[in-house]
Amino acid sequence: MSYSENLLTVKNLSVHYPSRSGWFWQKKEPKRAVNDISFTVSRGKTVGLVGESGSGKSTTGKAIIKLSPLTSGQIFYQEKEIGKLDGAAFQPWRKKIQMIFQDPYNSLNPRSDVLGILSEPLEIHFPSMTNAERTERCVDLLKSVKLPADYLRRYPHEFSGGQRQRIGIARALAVQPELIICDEPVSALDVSVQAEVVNLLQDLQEQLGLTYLFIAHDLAVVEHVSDEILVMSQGKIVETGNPTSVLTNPQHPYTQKLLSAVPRF
Amino acid sequence: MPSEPLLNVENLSITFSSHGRTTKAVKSISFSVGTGEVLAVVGESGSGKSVSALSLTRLLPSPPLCDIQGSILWRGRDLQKITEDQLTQIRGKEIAYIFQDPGTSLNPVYTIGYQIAEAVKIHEPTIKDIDAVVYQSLHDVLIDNPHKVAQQYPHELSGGMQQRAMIAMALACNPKLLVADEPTTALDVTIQKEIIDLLKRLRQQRKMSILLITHNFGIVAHFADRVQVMRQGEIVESGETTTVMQNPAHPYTRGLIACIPRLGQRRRRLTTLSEEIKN
Ligand SMILES: Nc1ncnc2c1ncn2[C@@H]1O[C@H](COP(=O)(O)OP(=O)(O)OP(=O)(O)O)[C@@H](O)[C@H]1O
Ligand SMILES: Nc1ncnc2c1ncn2[C@@H]1O[C@H](COP(=O)(O)OP(=O)(O)OP(=O)(O)O)[C@@H](O)[C@H]1O
Ligand SMILES: [Mg+2]
Ligand SMILES: [Mg+2]
Repeated sequence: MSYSENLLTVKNLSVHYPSRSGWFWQKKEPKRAVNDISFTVSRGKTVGLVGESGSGKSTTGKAIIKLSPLTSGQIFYQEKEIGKLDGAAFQPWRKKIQMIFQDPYNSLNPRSDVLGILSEPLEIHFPSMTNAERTERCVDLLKSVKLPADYLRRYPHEFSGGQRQRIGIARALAVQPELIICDEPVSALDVSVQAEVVNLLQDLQEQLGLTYLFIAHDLAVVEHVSDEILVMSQGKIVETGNPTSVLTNPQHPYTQKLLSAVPRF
Repeated sequence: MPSEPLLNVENLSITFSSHGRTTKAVKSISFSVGTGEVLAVVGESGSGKSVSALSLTRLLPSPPLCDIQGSILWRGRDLQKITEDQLTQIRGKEIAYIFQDPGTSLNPVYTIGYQIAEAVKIHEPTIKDIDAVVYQSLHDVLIDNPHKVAQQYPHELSGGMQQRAMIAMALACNPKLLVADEPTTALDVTIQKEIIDLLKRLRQQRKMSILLITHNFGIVAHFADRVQVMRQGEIVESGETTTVMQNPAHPYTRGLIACIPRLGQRRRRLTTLSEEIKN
């Protein structure tokens, strides 16, 4: 029995997207993206979320920060139920919970340079910071994701895919969150930069006690970072367990299929 | 026997200038792709892989923002010297792209089905039952419910479904050269494997050539005939896939291969490159 604190508890979460397509006389079936899933994430730990493309991983991550509609179920941050809080009441949790988005292209404001992108959350959540302090913080953030300081004045379209992904990571780290929902955070990085960023996330976890929900398709990376793994298929969690046992002795047919498809060389 | 080069790029240099800054993104690289050949490009993030692929059909900003030097011979014609009208006949038809950025090829205001239909029409303007072709192409990329997905807008699809829609669009054009820039990053390994198998089949059936940009060495090992490794705008190593993967000559390639995380190898920290190798 462990006494670690549950930082995030998701209970019976369902997310159904309302149907839009079809004519009004046709029966509108909502898209059942996530169906009655429950899991917890302990403070200072990493839960890896893997699974089929389209199985509801990003939807689950977004539901936690109110970017996808919570159809039913509850989301607790520590003891507090945050699933039904409205905009203003949710504000304090916006700082505590950050998300690294799967699509680094659409998640960065194209009209803002990197300084602007990284400063914005700082202005909201640390209003007393001076301009100089903010700039200094932004330079440190860039360095931590292995980008040079002079990139502060560049715009998103001037970056490569992996450089943009790292700006998304820097932005999530900017406000010193407690929980980061990492949705494919390193998929656009070469293996050497990927290793540096993964190590950085682990260092921050050790130093500051950060907690991660880590969504990724690269099973070796998920195995490496996770304390526990959840496997999703068709809106449901089909298997959970510690990474080594799930990945060496998979029980569910989907997990077995997944492992047999890993390219070996 | 080397196949006849379909694409032959010589001394390609790409320089961006904006706000008084210049970035030498690509520094005089040369490479070629033969008919039916799969050439993989791997390497550092920001090393110029995507921009060199985009430069082939003038998909980069025009001068003075971006300056391109060198020659790009496509089936014997220099693409640098032909008119925009002539290039339109090649772009999307003979050379099709799966872009790294879904936003570049998927238009947010049109449904997926409409966008694939447009791509099909470019290739086969006289086709009658275009819907059937659209559904089939979505089915080919393992989209479960093609009729439904065809009616959806890009933002209503998961990351991996968007990626597959782009693959379907590019393949619908029946190109001679497919430029696939990180085509499977948002796919789980089962679908990734099936997509690679699909590309393998098309390459056989259609003699399609593929320029594959990827960070995934597993895919390179199983799919590419040759591989070239880029770092800081240069090609540091190139050769047959098995040779490069098993006996990498350049320290950067060796270092990169050592950084690949592998299943069942739980360590406290992942291996990174030393500063010395990085520069
Ligand atoms: N805004 C939306 N409107 C309608 N349906 C949506 C919307 N967003 C996602 N969906 C649907 O919900 C399902 C789950 O999508 P989600 O993005 O959560 O998948 P995922 O597990 O993250 O997949 P991937 O690994 O491909 O990114 C998909 O079928 C998708 O089409
Ligand atoms: N429009 C642009 N203006 C200025 N610089 C640019 C522009 N597009 C790309 N660059 C720069 O050119 C270099 C090469 O970019 P490219 O997108 O080709 O990298 P890449 O090898 O594809 O990297 P990744 O693996 O991260 O996608 C990068 O340093 C990038 O910042
Ligand atoms: Mg997703
Ligand atoms: Mg790129």
